Amino acid sequence: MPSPTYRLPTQQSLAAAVAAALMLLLGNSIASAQEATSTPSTTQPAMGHFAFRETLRYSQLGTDPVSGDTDQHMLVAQSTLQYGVTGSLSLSLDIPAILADIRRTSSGSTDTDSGFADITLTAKYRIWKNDSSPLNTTRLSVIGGLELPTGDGAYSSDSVDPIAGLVLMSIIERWGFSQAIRYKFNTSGSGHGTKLAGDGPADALRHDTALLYRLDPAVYSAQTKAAVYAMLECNGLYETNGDYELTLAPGILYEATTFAVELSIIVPAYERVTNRAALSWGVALGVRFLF
Amino acid sequence: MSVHAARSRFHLALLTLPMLLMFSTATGCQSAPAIADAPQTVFPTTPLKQDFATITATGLSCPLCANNIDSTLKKLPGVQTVDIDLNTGRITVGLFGKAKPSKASLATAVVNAGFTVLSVE
Repeated sequence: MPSPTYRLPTQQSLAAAVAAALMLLLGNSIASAQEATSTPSTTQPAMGHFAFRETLRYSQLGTDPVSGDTDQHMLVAQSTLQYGVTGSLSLSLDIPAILADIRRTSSGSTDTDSGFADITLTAKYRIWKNDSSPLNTTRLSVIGGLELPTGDGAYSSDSVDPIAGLVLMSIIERWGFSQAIRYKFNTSGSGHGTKLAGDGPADALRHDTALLYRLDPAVYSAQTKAAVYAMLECNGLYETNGDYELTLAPGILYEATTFAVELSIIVPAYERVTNRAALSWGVALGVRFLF
Repeated sequence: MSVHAARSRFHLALLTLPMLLMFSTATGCQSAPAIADAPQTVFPTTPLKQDFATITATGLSCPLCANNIDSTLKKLPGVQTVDIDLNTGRITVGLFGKAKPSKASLATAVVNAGFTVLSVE
């Protein structure tokens, strides 16, 4: 498998990275409620409303078995714009921006890169719900989408890849549970071995589970303006080239009526990865604004 | 123009889209809803005359959900205040002016926010 082609950051790439960082500060969000950092839920903006979410992920990776690069660090900004078409249907646009991709090459030099990964257009439609009490709800949604080959160089799969999935969410008193499964078909079956997990030449199956527990308040009231949750995610990625990665992400979510902030630590629980660098550990910081 | 340059400009254009939407929202320019979900119960379409209405809803689940309802209801003409009790599912809507909404429009707004309406009083 050929080594990915890396390049030093250009003015355009840096401008794009700055724009992504600005979105972090200026994002306008009608946030998704009780939604963990990496696990989809069935929540969506109200009909006719937009939501904007920004998530920063820092990852430290192991040695790349293909290129031999070591000491790899990546900082990725994920911008998501979501629109409520109806009370049950929403459309999303995901734009991942690699703000920094730093590694030591096999020759001993330090290479730095940045750019955009492929954007994804997704539709999420709630096919069933049971709102059993003022607080409690269970909902099921189907997901359909397309990942488009708009990314830069080593960050693109160079193909239009369909995505299909299901999401189940249940909130019962102080507990919240989400389970999602998504499959992405790599239509070209080729590519130069993009280093991003799940964006390589193989098909990718993601299974995500999130458990949230409301730490405070114990009971909602008419005066409740915010809540704090402990969350634990278990996220799995299987690629049809044989790679499989399972991570655990404990974290905390602070959710007010107009904004939310989340922080997670990501650690590998199981890894069988031979076609790209595996995750050593990571941190995710998410901000959602509503105004 | 190279493919890389074209892609970079495309991404920059996409990233400016949320900012444009934010400003358009702030200036009151909203896309008209294409399709609306309907409440399961049929509510009267006659405009209300009282100063307050109480909606009982389910599935509210969290503070951000409450804000979803708040912003949707306040888009209705005649809605001045919205108070939500997550514990009881009771939504108290303060009404004003001559053009007050009907029970049906209040219920539809809550349904379009993604929740279930039990009653509108």
